[in-house]
Amino acid sequence: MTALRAVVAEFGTVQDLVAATRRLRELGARRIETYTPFPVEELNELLVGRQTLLPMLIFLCGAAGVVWGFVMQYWGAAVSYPINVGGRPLNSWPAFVPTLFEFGVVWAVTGGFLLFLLFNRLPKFHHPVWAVRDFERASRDAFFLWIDATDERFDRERLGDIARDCHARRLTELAA
Amino acid sequence: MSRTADAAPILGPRASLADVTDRVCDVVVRQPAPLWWWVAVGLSGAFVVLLVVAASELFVVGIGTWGVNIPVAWGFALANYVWWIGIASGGTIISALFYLTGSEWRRATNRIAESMTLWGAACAGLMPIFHLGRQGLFYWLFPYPNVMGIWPQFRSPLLWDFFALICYIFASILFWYLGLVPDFASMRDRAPTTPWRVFYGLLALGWRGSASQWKTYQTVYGILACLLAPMVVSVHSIVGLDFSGGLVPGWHSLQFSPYFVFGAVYSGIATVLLLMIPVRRLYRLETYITGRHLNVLAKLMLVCGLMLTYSYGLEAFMPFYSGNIFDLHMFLNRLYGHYGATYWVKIALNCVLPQLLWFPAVRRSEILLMVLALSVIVGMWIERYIIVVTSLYQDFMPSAWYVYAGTVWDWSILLGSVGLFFTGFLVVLRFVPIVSISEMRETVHEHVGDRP
Repeated sequence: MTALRAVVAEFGTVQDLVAATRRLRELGARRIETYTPFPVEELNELLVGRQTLLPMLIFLCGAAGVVWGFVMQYWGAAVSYPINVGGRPLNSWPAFVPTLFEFGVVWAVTGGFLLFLLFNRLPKFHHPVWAVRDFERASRDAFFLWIDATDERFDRERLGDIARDCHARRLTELAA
Repeated sequence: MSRTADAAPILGPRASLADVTDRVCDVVVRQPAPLWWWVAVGLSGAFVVLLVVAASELFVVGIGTWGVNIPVAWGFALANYVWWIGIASGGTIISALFYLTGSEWRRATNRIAESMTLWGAACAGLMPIFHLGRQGLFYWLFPYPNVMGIWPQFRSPLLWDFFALICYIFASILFWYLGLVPDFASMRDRAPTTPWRVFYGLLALGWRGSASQWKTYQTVYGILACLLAPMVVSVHSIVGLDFSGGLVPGWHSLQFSPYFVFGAVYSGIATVLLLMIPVRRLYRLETYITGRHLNVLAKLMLVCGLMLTYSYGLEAFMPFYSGNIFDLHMFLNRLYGHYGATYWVKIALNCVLPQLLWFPAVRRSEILLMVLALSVIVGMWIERYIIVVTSLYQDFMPSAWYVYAGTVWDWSILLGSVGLFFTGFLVVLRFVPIVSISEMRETVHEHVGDRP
């Protein structure tokens, strides 16, 4: 018998998926993942928790944009190509503010998008879960639960009970 | 009366998770392009050809081919620019600002609004380049170290505008694409043939919809919406500052930034309505884009119209309040001078006609909504034309006064840009899910449940 990589359960509703996930978490399972056609708040709480690092990093991207925008404008207007306009100061920072704002926003947006890719390990064009039958429906109307066989608390029989209790439509075993 | 209109459900009958996915995906990946699509592309493509011809004429002959001359150094191109960027801005307001307010109706409209934003901003971006005179040197706007040893003038509103526009286009593309990633995954999974599966699979970047992916997606999407909502206000405010920064009576006004933002949202909502009504019929999306959505957008259009009317009122009040003879001359000339008729047409289209939207029956009529939306769009172009031309044509020196009129090439550029916009939108319609499927699934989940 080949070693088991994971068991994937398919559910018909969010409620069933959440119930199964909650029971597995209560049993101490850690290596589980869900696949849903839309974001589900309860699963965020059960599996992901709060995400505090990401907003901080995006803020830093925006701040870097503002700093770079100021350096660029200061260098251009006051150091490299100074123009005396009616005796006004060369470091005319209030006139730099609109551009600083746009730089801050666009750096934060770009950084946010790149961090989205980085945090989600995208692009990634292959994943074992795609071998599961009907997994196309994870982007349509079905809800999937991945239970990794390497989990310390992995128990194939108890998993069968939970799946039955929570009305799982199908269990798929993936070989390693 | 109004209660029945408001009570129109946000979802029609037969809505389900499978139905919303199949309906939005299948028109793109499983059905050949319908006849109306080819006809529309043919028509708008003809106008793109016109744009290419007019641009070639411009590049070869120069700006003299347009009607502009001193003192009316700005004409159609500036009016077109403000008009297009205004339309674009309205789309971002709908998709970003109303995401932050958590409005449920936004989910069915945001993809149309964002797609409109992209092509509106693209058309806007062409206009300043056309107007440069030496178009091939447009890259001089960029701050880059060069052998001439010079830098752009960072203190000028025109340069702020350049940065605002280019940053806005870039940020809008990323926001649009981020929202599309889960939907491209649906398209990938629905695609019947391998080439399409590969095409959408690459665009979906390998999205699987795992809990952690959704969490990151939501965090980033929310932050991007937070950033884009003020950005779009800043972009159109800076467009207003282009005018405020000039000394010409009729431009040199502090109210221009908010005034322009109101007008931008107004024309943007009108354009979304104009696009949404045919799209929902032609793509049979009546279940997901319902009378509720039309009603909400119609009310928003009315509100923006009232805010704009207030700005017009303030614009009329200030010359009399200040007593400045140059301002007074400009303003009375705007009302009763050579271009007086355009002013009253503008008032009729932007302020008077939209008052019909107070009636719920009008907000329920798709034909009337389209007519009103179109009249607002035209009215907003006329508004920009008036701001640009009537402020300039009688400047401080009467010997230089000049009556401006667009030439056939001015009109060709304007109509050609409309063609470019519609061609771009039709391409989006053919290759991209035109309603945000993953967000509509949340609505279905909340109202109907998960079972088919």
